[in-house]
Order: sequence, then structure tokens, then C-alpha cells
Amino acid sequence: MKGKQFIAPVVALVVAAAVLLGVSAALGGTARSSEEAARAEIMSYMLPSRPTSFTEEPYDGEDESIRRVFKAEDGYVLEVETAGYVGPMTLWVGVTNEGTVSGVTVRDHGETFGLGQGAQTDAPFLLQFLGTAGEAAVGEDIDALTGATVTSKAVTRAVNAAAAFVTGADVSSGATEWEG
Amino acid sequence: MKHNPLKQSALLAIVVGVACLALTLVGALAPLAIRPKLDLVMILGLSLIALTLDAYLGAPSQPSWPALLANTVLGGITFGLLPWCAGVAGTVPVWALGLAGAAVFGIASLLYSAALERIATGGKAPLAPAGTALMLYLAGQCLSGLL
Repeated sequence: MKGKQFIAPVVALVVAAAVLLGVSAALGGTARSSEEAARAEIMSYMLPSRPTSFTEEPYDGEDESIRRVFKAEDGYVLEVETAGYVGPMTLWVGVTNEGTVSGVTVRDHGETFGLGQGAQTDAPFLLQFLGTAGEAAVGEDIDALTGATVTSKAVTRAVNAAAAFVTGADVSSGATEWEG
Repeated sequence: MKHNPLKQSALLAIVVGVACLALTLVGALAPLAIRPKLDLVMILGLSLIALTLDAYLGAPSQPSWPALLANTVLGGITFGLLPWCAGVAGTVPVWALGLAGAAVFGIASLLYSAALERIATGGKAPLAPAGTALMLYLAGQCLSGLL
């Protein structure tokens, strides 16, 4: 091994790192504003009144799966992380002030292609959660995705956790609007 | 650079750099899109692309342990540094990505050269590098599923 043989890979590495740092710094603002706009658009579909403004509230409860809490006039949208079959899954769950689930979307996952991946795209599966209030259970009122029972249970856990935040089942949460 | 045994590390830096750039641009311009995670399968895929380009861009050098070790270390630095620079590493620590990158690139490099030598039996075997990469990628996916 000669020292000059290291020149090509080191130069390629340094140039790539410099380009990426530059692009990342230049697009940082755009990325943040695009993400905010996209988040607001998705969340507006998750509550019945189609709210356009959300206020992020701090969460200091005991449920470690709840990551972020966004409050609107007629409910909440919660970012919940749950353990899927392959790895962590991140969901947004809309829950009305009455404690009823009004929207579910899977934002991030690494589930198996063709099986657990359906949790993100299988509308009939996701629609089952609408109207539940923290008591959903796979095998009872929720039909699991074919070949992905673990993923289905993970989604159910996340949805129940979000509903429990509003209904008060998570007693350490600050939600008090439950009218059920 | 034709006979440089570290050419594959330079190509890996370019391939990983382009992939990180694409992830950064998608994240900034299409935030609704769910981007693929930088996991073991993706690290393997990027490593195999670099190794395939290396095979097509000239006769591969005779494999040697010092070159393999140097490529492994450079692979680790590449997978640790570039995703961090692009801000696409997520919550995975840089050292973990680097360690995973070094291990995957080192093993892939060893297996790729061994498999290619056996698959490319004739003088002309234009599909052998791509076929070898595809075979190893599918094997890696299966192994990842088992893990």
C-alpha cells in the first residue's frame, strides 16, 4: 500500500462532505418550512373541523410512546412512536375532544415489504380505527393485516395510547376535555 | 486510478454522497415523501453499487488483506461522515453508522470479489458484475429479514 493511493478516496470523501454540508446548510430553512407546511396540511385532515392552526403542547406524562402533542380547537393530533415488527413506527393520530379517534396516518416505519408495510397504505385496515376510543383490540374490533399481526397490534397500541391521552386514561397527561 | 486498490473507496464516497444528496433534496423539496432509512440493507445496496462500478470501470486489482483493511476503514468513515454532513442520519449515532458501514462494506467487498471471480468464468461476461451485486443484495435482504 502506497501513501499516494489514499489520495483519490480521501479527496472524494472531502469533496462529497463539503458539497453535502453546503447543500444541507443552504436548504435547511426550506426543509424546515416545507416540513411545517406539510405537517399542517396532513394534520388538518385528521380532525373533523379541518383546523388550520395547531399549537404544540408540552407532554410530561408517563406514556413514553407519546412524542409530541398538537392541540386544535376540536381535538388533538398526537405523534406516537410504537415498536413494530422490524423497528419503531411513528404515527400521527387525531383524537377529538370527546376521545374519539378521527384520523390515523403512519408517518415512518421499516416494516416488511408486502406485509407490515400495508399499515401505511391499507385504507380498510386504517379505517377500522376511526370512531374507536382507546379500547380497540386486534381480533375483536380490529382485523389484522394479513401476515402482519405484530404490526397490526403495534398500530392498535399507538392509536389506543393517543385516545387514552384525551380520555384521561393516561392520568398524568394534561388533557381534560374528555366529555365521554 | 485504474490500478489503485482503493478506487472502490473513492467510488463508494461518490455513490454515498449522491445518495445523501438525493435524500437531502427530497427531504427539503418533497417533505411528504417517506424517505428510505439508512439501514443495513441500504448500506449494503450502496456498497454493492460502488463495487459494481469498480468492476465495470477497469480490471479489479488483485485482492490483498492490506487493501481490504484500508477499504474497510475508509468505508466506515464514509458511512459515518457523509450522512452526518447531509443531516440524514436521523437518530442513529455517527459511530454506529460508521461501524455498520465498515462491517458491511468490508464483508461485501470480500464476498463480491470472491463471487465475481467464480461467476465471470469467460473472457467476456458483461452481466457478471451486475448479477453478482444483485445476488448479494438479495442474500443481504434475506439475512436482514432473519435478523
